[in-house]
Amino acid sequence: MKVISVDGYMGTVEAMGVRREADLAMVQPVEVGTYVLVHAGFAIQTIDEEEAIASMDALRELTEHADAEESQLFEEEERSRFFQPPPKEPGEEKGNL
Amino acid sequence: MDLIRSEADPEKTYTIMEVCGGHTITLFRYGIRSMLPDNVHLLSGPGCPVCVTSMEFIDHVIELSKRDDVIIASFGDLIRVPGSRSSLQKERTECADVRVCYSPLDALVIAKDNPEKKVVFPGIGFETTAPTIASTIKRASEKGLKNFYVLSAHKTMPGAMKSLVEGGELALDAFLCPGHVSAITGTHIYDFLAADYGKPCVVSGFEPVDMLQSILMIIRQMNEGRSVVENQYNRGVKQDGNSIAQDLLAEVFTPGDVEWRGLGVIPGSALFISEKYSDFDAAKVLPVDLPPVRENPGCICGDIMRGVKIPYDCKLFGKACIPENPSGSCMVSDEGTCATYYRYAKVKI
Repeated sequence: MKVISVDGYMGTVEAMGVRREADLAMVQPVEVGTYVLVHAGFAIQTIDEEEAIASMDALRELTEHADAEESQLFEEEERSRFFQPPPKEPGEEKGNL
Repeated sequence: MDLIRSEADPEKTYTIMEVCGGHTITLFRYGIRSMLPDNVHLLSGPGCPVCVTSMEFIDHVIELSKRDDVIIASFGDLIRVPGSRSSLQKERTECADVRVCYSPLDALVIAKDNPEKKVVFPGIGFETTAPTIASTIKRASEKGLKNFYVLSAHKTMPGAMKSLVEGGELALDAFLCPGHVSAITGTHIYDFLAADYGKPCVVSGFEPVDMLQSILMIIRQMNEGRSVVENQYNRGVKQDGNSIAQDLLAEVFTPGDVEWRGLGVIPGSALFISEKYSDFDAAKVLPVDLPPVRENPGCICGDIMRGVKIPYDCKLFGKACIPENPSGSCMVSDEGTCATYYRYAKVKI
């Protein structure tokens, strides 16, 4: 993913139109425009730009044909669903993930 | 693929093990396994951190979840893993506060927003994930958070790979090495496998073309009688890895011995929270009484993890054990061998 803004040790990264926040502490020093590997909300390694562009092109081509359900991208709407604490009444929550 | 077909010597067998859940998925999703020549065999190893986590750990997290003052903030793939008698998902229906996190940093936010509760993050993952938890613990310490804890089941790969080679159950010729673990550790952690055990090792990326190239590199090494560590994933993996992440691991964790499901105890493969950060160690600060562990007698996840059996060998696979109702961890986790087989190769071709 590409670093598009930096604010202290946090930053915003983007890939294929998806933006998320990432902790950049492990890839310091890092500049806007650098490509990084992101895992669990952290950038864990910088990636060589030419190689990164080639791999993103290949991914884009593949995801055009892949089933959307099997996409690895974690949608923001899905994420916000998981942050609700369970309801107080037992049995009401089906615990459906 | 044509190169692989032309260069694989028909007089030889190439038995290659991949030890990364992400690689297992790529191999199945793109049908690579079925396209390889008959004498090139791919075995799935213990590359799924959820799958190699002991039942005792799962039970421990479940016991913690039952406490009214505890919020379990966990990666999603742990929620449905069956313990001896229950699962986090089941406990959630009994009013346990269990929340899914994309990142351990999300758990810090939950801790900050719920100062009266103890937020416990079950730490699952290898060298790729452990530094993210290490960094999170450091952040918690810097911010003076007093209600954030990690129960660590983090593990490191090389010991397990050594155990598979020494175990002698499999005639393993070579390893496809994990991509993102190597991004952290560097590629030298596999040197001993090549030098002392004569096993070619290639660090591979996750795209199908990456894996095909890596398989070809292994075939070439074997044909030439070489055994060295090569890096196919050089866009993401530097030879020395990520030194900041390595320093984090050394500061926040300390190595120890731990049981890997299916592999037994592997010395030095555990990452326990170090003395310096013991205030954040759920194992020390929040002890529980654990009832005895109970394994499902029909479940052969352990054998599958070692590569000695495949899901089709399991009586429960596809019948009692399906993704919606898993009996064992290999079926629960997206990276588990059984889940991958079920998704892409339910029926033996």
